[in-house]
Amino acid sequence: MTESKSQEPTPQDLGFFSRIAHPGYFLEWSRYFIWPLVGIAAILMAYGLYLAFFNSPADYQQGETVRIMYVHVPSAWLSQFCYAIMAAAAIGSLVWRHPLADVSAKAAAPLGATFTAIALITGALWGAPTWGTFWEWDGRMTSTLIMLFIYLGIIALWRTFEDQVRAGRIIAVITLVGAINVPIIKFSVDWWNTLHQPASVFRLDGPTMPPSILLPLFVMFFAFSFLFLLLHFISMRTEILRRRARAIERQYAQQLRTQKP
Amino acid sequence: MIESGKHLEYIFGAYGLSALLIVLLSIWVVLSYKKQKNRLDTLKAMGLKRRSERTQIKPE
Repeated sequence: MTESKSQEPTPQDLGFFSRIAHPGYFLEWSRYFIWPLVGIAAILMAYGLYLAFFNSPADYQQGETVRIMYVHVPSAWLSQFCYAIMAAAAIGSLVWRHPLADVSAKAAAPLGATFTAIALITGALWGAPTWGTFWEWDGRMTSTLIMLFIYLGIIALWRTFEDQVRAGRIIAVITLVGAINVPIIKFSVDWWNTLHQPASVFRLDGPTMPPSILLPLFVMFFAFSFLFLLLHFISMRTEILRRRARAIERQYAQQLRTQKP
Repeated sequence: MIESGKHLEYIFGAYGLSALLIVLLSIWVVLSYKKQKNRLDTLKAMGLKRRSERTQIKPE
């Protein structure tokens, strides 16, 4: 049994998850992850690029352009994974009003937008020699383009509001509405007759490609995921510092106002 | 091993543009962090602290 305390709980009194999610504690523990993440991402990226260019065969149908897939697939995965993180954070903001959830959502948006842009660009550069067209308004491509617009809209909204707590609530609702696009992207290839191929990696009956192509794909997949994690951690730290600086500046301004005769 | 002359421009174009975007994103992420760190350090150097830091007794 713990004694009831009259004073506010310190972070030490909180449970494990509340403690690691406390912004001050996040700043403390996340700093130890930055350099290890740099190392892991760099090693995986170097190994992935080596496999992609020097140690994997050309595809019998796609030819050499299959190598574009080693950037395209991980980017497309991150585009959706990042949105899933933002949607989870949105629930955290709305249900628990957790400050770190807002920070996580805001930090993720520019990363998601960049990886979505990479997925679209590499897809177009793969499509030109393989399909004979850079772009087709099919289900997968159109829904991914909409995803990019949703990301850009969310980034713009974060910059529109001065009060970031209020912004967090409003953007959380919009993020959850936009989350409908994630299953649409995923199942677009099954629901509609798309030029884009159906799923070939994450399938119930296993991937439909040989290990020589699957290995570089998986290494690059993890390289991109660790890179994302690294950038997300740094961006979250940035956002916490920004909020602290803003809070101090606001308090100082208030102090100056009250001191006036 | 990659064979030359087989849509190399598309492959290198895809890798080049991806690398460019990732590098620009990384630089932006790191510079933003440094900017906020400097901003907070300047405020601290001016003797300004958050209300919680001013009143809170640091737990051992």
